[in-house]
Amino acid sequence: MRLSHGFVRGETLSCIYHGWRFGADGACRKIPAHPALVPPRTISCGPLPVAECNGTVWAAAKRPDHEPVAYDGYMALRSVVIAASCAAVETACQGARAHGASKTRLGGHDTLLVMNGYAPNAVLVIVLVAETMPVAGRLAISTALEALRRTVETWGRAA
Amino acid sequence: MILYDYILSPSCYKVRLLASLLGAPLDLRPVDFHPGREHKAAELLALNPAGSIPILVDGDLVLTESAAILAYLAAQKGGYWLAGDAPAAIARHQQWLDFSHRLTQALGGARLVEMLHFEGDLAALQTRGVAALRELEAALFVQRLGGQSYLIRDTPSIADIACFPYVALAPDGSIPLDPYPSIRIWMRAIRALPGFIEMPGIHRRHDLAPDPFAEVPS
Amino acid sequence: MTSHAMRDAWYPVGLLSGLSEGGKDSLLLGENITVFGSATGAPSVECSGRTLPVVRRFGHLWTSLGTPDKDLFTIPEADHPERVRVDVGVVRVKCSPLRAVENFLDIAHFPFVHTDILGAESHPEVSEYKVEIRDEVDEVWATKVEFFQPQAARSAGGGITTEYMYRVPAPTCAVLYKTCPPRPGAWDVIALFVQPLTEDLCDVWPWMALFDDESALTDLIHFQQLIFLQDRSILENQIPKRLPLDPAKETPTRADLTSVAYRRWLKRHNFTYGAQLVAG
Ligand SMILES: N[C@@H](CCC(=O)N[C@@H](CS)C(=O)NCC(=O)O)C(=O)O
Ligand SMILES: [Fe+2]
Repeated sequence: MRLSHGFVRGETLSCIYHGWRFGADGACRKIPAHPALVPPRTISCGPLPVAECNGTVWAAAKRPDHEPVAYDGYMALRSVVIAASCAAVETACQGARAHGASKTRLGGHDTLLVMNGYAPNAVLVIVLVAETMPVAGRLAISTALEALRRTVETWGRAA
Repeated sequence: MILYDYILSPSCYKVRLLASLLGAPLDLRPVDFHPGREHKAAELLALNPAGSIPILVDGDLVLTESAAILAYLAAQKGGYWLAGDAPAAIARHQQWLDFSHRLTQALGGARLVEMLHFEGDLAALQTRGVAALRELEAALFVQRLGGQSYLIRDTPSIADIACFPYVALAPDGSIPLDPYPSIRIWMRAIRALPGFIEMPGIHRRHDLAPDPFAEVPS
Repeated sequence: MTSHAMRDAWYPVGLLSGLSEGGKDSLLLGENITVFGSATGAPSVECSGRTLPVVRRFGHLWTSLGTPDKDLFTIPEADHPERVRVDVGVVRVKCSPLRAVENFLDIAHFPFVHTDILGAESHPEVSEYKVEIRDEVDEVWATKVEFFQPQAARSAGGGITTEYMYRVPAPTCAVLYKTCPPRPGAWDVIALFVQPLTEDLCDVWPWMALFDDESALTDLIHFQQLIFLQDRSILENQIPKRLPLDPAKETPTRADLTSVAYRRWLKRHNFTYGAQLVAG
C-alpha cells in the first residue's frame, strides 16, 4: 500500500490500510492488530535518504556522497508537472545549466528550474526564485511557468 | 428537510457535508441510483424532471442542483458560508460555483465510466478533468500567495464545498492528485474543519483523532 | 498467458436482473466476451463465436472459458426463505482480482479503512482464529474470527463483538458468515464475486443474503456499497499490482493467516492469473 495515503502522528508515519506505524528510520514501531507485539526489526518500509534545501525536498535511491547543491538566496516557489520529457522542457526554457538547475527568465525575472522526469512523459518542475522576490514578481513567474507548460505540451501534441 | 440522497454521489455528499458543518439536521431518503436507476423513475422525475440527485424538500419548497441547495442551507444559518456583500467576492464566489459544474461533468464523468460502467469518452473526460484541476491549482496557489487558504478568502465558503468532493475523488476516475500541492493543502484544510464528515473514497484525518497508542516510541 | 487452471473455473459476468438482450461486451481473463440477456429467460455468453457454458445462481449469471470440472459452489444457508437476497451491483476496480478477494478476507484493516463502522481505532486487536484448507471440499476456511465492531451491519444498534467465518470456494470468490445482529445464533451471508477482466482489472459483484425485516432494500445496498467503496481506493493503491505468492516477499503476522492460506491454496492449484510468482 502506498504510504502517501497514510498519516503522521507524533514522530511516526501510519499506513492507512492496517495502521502499521513506522519511525523516521523506516523501522516498524507498532502493529495495531497485535498491540502487545514488539515488531521484529526486520519489518521496515525501506526509507530513502532525503535532504531539504532551498525549500525543496530531495530524495535518492542510495545515500549520495554529497549534499544537494544549495542555490544561495533562492527559495522554491511552486511546482508543476509537465506532460513532456525533460529534454523538451529544457529546450523550451533555453536555460543555461547551472549545477543541476536550469537558469531561466520567467515573467521578467531570473529563476532556477530543478526537474525530475519521473515518467517518460511527466516532469516535475520546481521553480526557485529570489528569496526577496515581492508578491507581484512571484505571480508573474507563476503565470509564465504555466505558459511554458502550454508551449512544451503543444509541441508534444504537434509531434 | 428531506434530502434525496445517494451514499456514493459526490453531489449529494456536498449537501450532507455542509449540513454537518452547519450542524443542520437532514432526513436522508436513500435513492437506489446504482444499480436501480431510481433517479430516472416516475416518483423522482416528478420532483426533478432533470433526473438528477440531490433533491432537497423543505415543506412546499423543492430544490434541485446542489449549488442551490448549499446556498439555501447556508442562508438559513446566518450566511457565514455565503459570499458577503462585496461585488468582487459575490462574483468570484459565483465563478467557482459555475466552475464546479465542469468538475462534475469531467471528473464525475470519468469516475462514473471507470467505476460504475457508465458510457462516456474516458480520455476526453480525463483531459478536461486535468485542465480543470490545473486551473484550480493555479488559483489556490495565488490565494496562498495572498495568505488565503480557501477559494475566495481565508475562511471557507460554499464555493469550496461545491468544488471539494469531485476534486477529492478524481483518482476514482484514474486522475491522480499528486501533481497538485496547493489542492492537497486546501483539501487537508477542508478535512480538518469541525463537523467534517467523510464519504467512501475520502478518508477522514486520522491524525486529528487522539492517538490510541500515545506511548509509541518514535 | 491465461493459466489453464483458472480457465476452468466459474466467474460472475452480470446481474440476472440487469442483462440486456442486445448484448453487453465485457472481458474475462483478458478475452472478449459478450453477455446476452433473454426475454425467455435463457441468457447466454459468447467468446469469439463460441458459446460458453452458463449457470444462473445467487442473482448472477456465471460462465467459464474452459470446461469446469465441478459445479459452481453452493451457499445452502442463503436459500432460507426468510432471508433478503441483495444484488449490490457492479463496481469496477483497477486491481488484481486476487487482491480484491484477499482484502475481503482481511479484518485487520477495519479500524482504519471502515472507521467507526466495521472497526474502531481503539479496538484494533485481532485475536487468534482457526484457518484450514478443507481437502474434502477443496476450500479455504477461517473460523472463530472475532472482532469488535461499532456498527456491524445496517441492522446493528450499537457496538458488538462480531464473529466471522470466511470461506474461499473458488479462486475469485469469497463468502463470509457473520453474527446477525437481529437474530442471535444465525449468520448473515455476504459474498464477493469477482470477475477477472485482466490481471490488474476486475469487476466486483458483491451479494448478500441477510436476516433483516427492518431495513429497506436500498439501505442494505447502500451499506454494502459504502463499505466496498471504502476498500476500492485502498485496492487501487496496492503495490505490487499483482498478488505476490512468494512467501519471502512480505512479512505476515498472525492476523494474516487467512491470506497466507489463500495464497498457498492459489499456488497449489496454479491459480496464478493476477498473481506474481517470483519476487520482483
Ligand atoms: N448539477 C447537478 C448534478 C448532480 C449530479 O450529477 N448528480 C448525479 C449523481 S452524483 C446524478 O443524479 N446523475 C444522474 C443524471 O444526471 O442523469 C447538481 O449539482 O445537483
Ligand atoms: Fe474493507
